[in-house]
Amino acid sequence: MKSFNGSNPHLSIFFSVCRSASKERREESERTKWALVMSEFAPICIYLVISPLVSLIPLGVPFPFASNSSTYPEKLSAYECGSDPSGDARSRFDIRFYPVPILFIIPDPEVTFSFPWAVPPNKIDLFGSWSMMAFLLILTIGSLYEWKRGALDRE
Amino acid sequence: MILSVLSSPALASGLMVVRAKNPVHSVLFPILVFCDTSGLLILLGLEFSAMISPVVHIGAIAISFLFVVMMFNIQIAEILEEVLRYLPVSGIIGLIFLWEMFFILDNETIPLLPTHRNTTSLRYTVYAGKVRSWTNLETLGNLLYTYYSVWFLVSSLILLVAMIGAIVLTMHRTTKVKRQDVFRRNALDSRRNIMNRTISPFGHS
Repeated sequence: MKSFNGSNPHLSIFFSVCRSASKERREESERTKWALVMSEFAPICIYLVISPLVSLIPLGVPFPFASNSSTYPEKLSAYECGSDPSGDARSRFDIRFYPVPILFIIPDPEVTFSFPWAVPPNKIDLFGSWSMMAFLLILTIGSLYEWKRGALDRE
Repeated sequence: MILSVLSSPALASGLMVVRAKNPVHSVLFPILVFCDTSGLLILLGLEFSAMISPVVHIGAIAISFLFVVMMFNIQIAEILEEVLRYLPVSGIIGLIFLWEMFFILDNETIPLLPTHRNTTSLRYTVYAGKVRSWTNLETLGNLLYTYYSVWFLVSSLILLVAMIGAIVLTMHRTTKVKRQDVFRRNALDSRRNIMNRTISPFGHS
């Protein structure tokens, strides 16, 4: 805490007494408030422990049983009907897969911006609601363009 | 302590983005950075940004970077050859970035070198905030749609441009897509099409 340079000695003595007397109680209440706020994150922390455990255990269990550096390379190479493998097995990435994440990324901030908008409707009154409607209208124009162009159709 | 636990993997992952040999690894390391950034946002008390930033950063940005990297066709040996070729220009840009960081690091609150000052004594307490303080969500909701609504709408225009640009750049001349004609399908009359044909199979057709 910032210390006063005693301009008024009575006031500074009063404040120092108050501070020392109620310091523990105030620190205690601060701690409980911080604990209350942070205890909202307790389920998230539990998930943060359990879900990596659930995903990493099936990931890591095959490693002792899988092929390692002592396996001979002929066994590990690709099978091409008996002859020696030539070239890369990967085909060129089809560009038609690219709009799929893009057309998810665009409505993602739309939904993200809806979250703070939904909280204080009494304070935003009419102007805030209509600005959100304008935002949604502009993105709807984009969705309409995407729909009519058929960006997500399969062949 | 939590600050250093969270920020040192972030720094290390940021470095590994540049140093990783496999380009897919250098897209996976920013995911670690985003997780650490979310933890740092919790430490700052911005809980909404901390929860939304994995969704937006990892789920949208890192995924789109991953798609871009998947479209490469690089042999790994070729990457190792040309590492030092970009050192002059990238070094200058890196130094400019480092110089810009000094605008942010205010020596009063964030000392650059280890000092002997007791930095914890400079806590400035806003007592009004202890009575009832707004959550991050409320603050954003109050300001973003009213006072900063112009910038909010500018962001919607940016999203629109991105959407249309992605579609324009990646759409083929559409080959035959099987489509339904909605009006024709609604005009089908089951009495005429189905009921007339279901005469007894043993009788005359």
